[in-house]
Amino acid sequence: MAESGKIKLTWNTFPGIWQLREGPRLLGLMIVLAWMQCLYCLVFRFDRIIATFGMSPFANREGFQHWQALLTVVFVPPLLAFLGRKTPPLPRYGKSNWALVRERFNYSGTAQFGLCFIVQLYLVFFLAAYLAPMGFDTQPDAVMLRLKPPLEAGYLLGSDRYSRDVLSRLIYGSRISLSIGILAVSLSATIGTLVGLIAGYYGSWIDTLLMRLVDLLLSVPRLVLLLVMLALFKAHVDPEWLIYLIISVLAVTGWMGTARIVRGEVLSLRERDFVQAGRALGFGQIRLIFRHIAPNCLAPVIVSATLGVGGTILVEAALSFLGLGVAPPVPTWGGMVTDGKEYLTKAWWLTTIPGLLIVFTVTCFNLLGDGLRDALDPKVVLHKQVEHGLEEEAEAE
Amino acid sequence: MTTFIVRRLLIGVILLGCVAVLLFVLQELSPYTAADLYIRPDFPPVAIDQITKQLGLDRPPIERFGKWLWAACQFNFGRSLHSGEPVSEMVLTALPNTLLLSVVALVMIFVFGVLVGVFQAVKQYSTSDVGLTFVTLFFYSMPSFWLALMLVMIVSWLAGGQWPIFGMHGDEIQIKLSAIQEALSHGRAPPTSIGFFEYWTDVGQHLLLPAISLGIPPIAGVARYARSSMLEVVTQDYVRTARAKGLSNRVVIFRHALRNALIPVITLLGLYLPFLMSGAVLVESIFGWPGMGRLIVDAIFTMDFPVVMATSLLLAVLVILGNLVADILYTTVDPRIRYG
Amino acid sequence: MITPAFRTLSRLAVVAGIGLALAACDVGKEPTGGQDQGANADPQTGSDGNLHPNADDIGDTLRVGLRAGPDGFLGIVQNSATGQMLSSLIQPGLVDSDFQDGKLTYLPLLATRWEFSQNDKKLTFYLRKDVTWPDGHPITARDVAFTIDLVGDPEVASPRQSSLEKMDHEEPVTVLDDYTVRFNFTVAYNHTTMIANAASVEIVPEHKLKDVPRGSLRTHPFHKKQPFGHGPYTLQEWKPKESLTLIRNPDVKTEPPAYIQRILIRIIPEYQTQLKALQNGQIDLMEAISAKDIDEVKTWPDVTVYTKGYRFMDYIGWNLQNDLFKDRDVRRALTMAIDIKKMIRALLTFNGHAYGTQAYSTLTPELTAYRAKAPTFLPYDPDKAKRILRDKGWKPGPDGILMKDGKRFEFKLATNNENPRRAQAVVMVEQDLKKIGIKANIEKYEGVKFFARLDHKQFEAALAGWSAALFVDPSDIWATPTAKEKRPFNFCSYSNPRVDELISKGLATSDPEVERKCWIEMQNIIYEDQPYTFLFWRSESFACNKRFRGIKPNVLTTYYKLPKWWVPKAEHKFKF
Repeated sequence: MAESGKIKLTWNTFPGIWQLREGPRLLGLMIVLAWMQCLYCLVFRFDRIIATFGMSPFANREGFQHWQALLTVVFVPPLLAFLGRKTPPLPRYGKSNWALVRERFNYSGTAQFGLCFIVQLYLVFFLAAYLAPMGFDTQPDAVMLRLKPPLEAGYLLGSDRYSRDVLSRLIYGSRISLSIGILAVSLSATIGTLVGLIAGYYGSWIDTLLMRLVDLLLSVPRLVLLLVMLALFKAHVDPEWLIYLIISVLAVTGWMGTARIVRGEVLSLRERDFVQAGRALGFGQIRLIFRHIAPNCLAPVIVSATLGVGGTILVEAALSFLGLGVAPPVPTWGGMVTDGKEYLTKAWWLTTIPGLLIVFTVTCFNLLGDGLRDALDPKVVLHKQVEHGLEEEAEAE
Repeated sequence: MTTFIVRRLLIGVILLGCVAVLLFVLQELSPYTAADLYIRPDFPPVAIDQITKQLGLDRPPIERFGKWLWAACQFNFGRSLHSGEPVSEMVLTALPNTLLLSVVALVMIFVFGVLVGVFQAVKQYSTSDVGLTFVTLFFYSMPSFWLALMLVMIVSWLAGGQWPIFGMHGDEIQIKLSAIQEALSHGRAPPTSIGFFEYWTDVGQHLLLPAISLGIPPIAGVARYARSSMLEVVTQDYVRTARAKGLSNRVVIFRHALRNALIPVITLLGLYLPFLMSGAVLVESIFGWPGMGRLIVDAIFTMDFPVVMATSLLLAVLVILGNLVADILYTTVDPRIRYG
Repeated sequence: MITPAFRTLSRLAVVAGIGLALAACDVGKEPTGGQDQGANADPQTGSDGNLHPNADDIGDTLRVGLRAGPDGFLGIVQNSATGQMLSSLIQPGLVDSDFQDGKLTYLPLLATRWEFSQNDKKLTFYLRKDVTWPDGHPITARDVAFTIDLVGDPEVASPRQSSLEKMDHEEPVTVLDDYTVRFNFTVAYNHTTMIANAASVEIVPEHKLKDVPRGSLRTHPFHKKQPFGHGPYTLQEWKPKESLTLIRNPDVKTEPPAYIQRILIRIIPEYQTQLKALQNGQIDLMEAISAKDIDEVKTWPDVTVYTKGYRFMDYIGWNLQNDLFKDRDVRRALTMAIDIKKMIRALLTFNGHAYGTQAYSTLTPELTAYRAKAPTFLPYDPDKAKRILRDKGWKPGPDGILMKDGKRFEFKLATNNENPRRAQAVVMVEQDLKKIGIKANIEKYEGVKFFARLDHKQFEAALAGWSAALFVDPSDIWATPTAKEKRPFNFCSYSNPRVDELISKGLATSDPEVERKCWIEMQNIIYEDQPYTFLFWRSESFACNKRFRGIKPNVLTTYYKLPKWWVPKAEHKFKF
């Protein structure tokens, strides 16, 4: 498109538009929406950007959040421009592994939808300080502005009993839910993978011991174990560190599934030729485990981790509902459902909207997880792939 | 097969012991004891110490665990530290209620889940399939307590307060029961009677909302699973053969494909019961259903050691049994699998 | 881009959207109609047209919704407000209390009369001779002595043991004969205090409990299953955490039998569910209605709202051991910096109606005799507060927070986290203090942990509350701790010799005028000293179905004179 020296400015230069028109459409939407968030901050929240420079990032929570947002606004647009560049189409044969996975992933519109909105949610997470209309515990007027329905008195999603803005609380609440989700699942996936690798590779009594431990922890339903551990340990812990307790407890009760999956994979991989060859060449055990076996186990782990984030968000909401979540005034989505419970019929928006947001978020993770599963498993033959293949065959003829 | 079952049961018993130790250790790590629950603004602190002694909480942990273990082997689970009731009584009163709720939910889950999943598979990629995929995904991603609250809101609005949203028995029934009991205790003829149909309709009305809240997310899960399982089966060779032989679609689906598709789904049966019983924790709290879920939550929050141990062990038993049942069902239904 | 899936999705979305919108519009609608039977009956008259109930009106069921059930029925060991209410219905004690004209008075119940003697150090009760236990055994003075013995026994661990502190330790009770019992006090306390301590606990049967191991009373069936009582109601069934049924006892001797045949108590832990149940007519009585909901409940056709007096107060307690709060003028400045009237407006005033009043002391304003004539509250004057602090050496530091000798005016303000009103109050206090340069860091603890911290004085400042007793005994809160008397509720470590003097004098005099002067002066001194920043008293409201007559709201209890409540026969909802 670039003529000698001159760059034509068409719609296509806006990041994401090209994908919207030709490539994976929803991914294009993802880039466009992300761009729009950043632009919104740059245009409408310029005052806050300026104010960020007066804050120290480590002094308090507010400063930290503002600097997070600032760095996001600075570094994400170039990233988007890079992602949105026009790429030549993939060759019919000779695609690299990751390109193959990406192509299979792109066949699924729903998976793209999931990815698109997960990215938006995490972007909102980082841009919280700029995007939220007001702070999460600001009470403009606890007497006159309490319990306003959505779209009244300047509240986009209504106000709660202390006149706090529901939208702002949802935005800040996303930080808790999303971070707990990702961190707990990362931790549990790591633990599970390690345990599975060790159990699968070494076998014999280590394997039996570890698998019995897995059975033990699986004997008591997860929620009951979580309740017992949280109710008991909560008293030991200062309110600020509570979120780390919750993440740890969620990780400790969630690694078992991953361990089983990984162990199964390792058991079958252990006897494969490339591992035997490595042994023959004298590679150390650690090297074999981590550099040769582990990467091949990752696919199911990634899938189960993605699906696990959705499940973890649900469990965290349940814990907040029971009062065992992060302490107020920090909002969490589950906690907002609990708070709104008292006003179920009078102020329906206090329970309905956070719940819908939970459903939406978990749905996106489930869609993404399903898409990844279909993309990563080479044995699955995708409907679209068959269609595409038939089309190409017809073309070739 | 018998050796397999016996071995699993033995391992199960050992597991139960380990669960007991685990829970006991966890309870010991808490800085609070059940006596601390008596702390109120107007409760003299000296009485707290006296209560600690009274409840036997000042004995060393090994001694307490040992005593508990010995009693537990004789099926005596002690008394609640909070209310003093014998734990076995508490559990025996609450368990049937939760079982009722769970079994009703379980039946709903499998009937509707399978129906929806099979329907989707048969009409793959049609409009209804796609629509149902989204609907099942929507309900699968839903927290059950939120669904319960939404149902309460909707039903209160629709039924204007005539449909019960709390408890297990309505007032009419309870008052009639009380009047009958009183008359009988004084040797008089009861002034009224309660029909079988009347009683169970009342319970059913109270049961409906909790069962729906408990059952809908798993229905969605089972539907997704049944759909993929059915799709897998439908692409198999023997189905194609059956169709090629000229059998009608209905016969093919219901007589050949369905049975094989249901194999993995049925094995879920054993696994869902303990899951439901713990999931009932939230739903029972909202609807005030007097079952194990509420018992567990209250016991955990009041650090009621005997009750927590007894109920957790009960749940562990259910999980172990459930797994065993699932494995056995798997071998019965699929002759290709054998356990040594 | 428009695929079949997209079409279906968009149709579904439209339908869902319409459905949601419809739901949103109508959810706020009020329910129509009710279950008002007998609406033609004149609310003031009975079934045959007169103001009082008669034998025909016996019947019907009162359905009560409660947040939590009792933990048991035995007065000596039970520990819940519900339990206290129920045990007074099932096993009445020596005397009945009443609160009229701003004063607490006692009426005969098990005791027909009583006398004070020997320089007022002894209190003798004369018991009725015609009351028996359900098994026919008569209730005697031996039962009273046995009860007191149990209360004082550390093995029993009774929450009431402090009521024995004012009695002689060797022999608190003497049995004079079968129906006469004497309490021996160490000092001639005033009459109300003596009766309150002597009759604080319901009587238990000696012949049934004397051989029971003392430590196991909390698991005894009298506490749990089948209380052994002689009152206007008996317990028919108790399903813990679910429901409780009381049946009228026609053979009660201590008072005329009740009219309502049955009391069915449902345990409904959720406030909102209770409110819904009340609105739908599924329960008849609901306690502790939040001030914010009162106006709405008043619009419901079948229900009447009653408001009781001031029993509960909130305050900020300053730990006087902490250097920041040692100086009285500093404490007074802190109070002047907090806009208490605004708090009352924000937290307790709805639609112009105030359900609270500013607090002057820990004595409830319901005790009209002890109310200071025109209490002069410290004004809300943040500028003056700043000046006072400046005079004391507190100057604003680089970040606006006051500093003195390198130390910042910063402290932790603790409260319990289950209480939304306190949660909001604590935020308002923090914001007010921030305006004059004081930094209060809010810390919320769960109930048990919070009270434990108060008990062990492990706090800097705490926003907490009291529920006021209706007889005056400020010693546990305000008197200086001694070796013998620990003053368990003096969390702030307050000590003022003049106050100690006044308390001893006020407790020991039987002259009401002297007593009055003591309490008024005590309240004035304490307010001067500001060990607390007294916030507000709040009133409690409850609602009951209109068909119940005879309800008179009284600050004593929601169930004031419950045996006198009745429903005209024509309006009986439950015929059994």
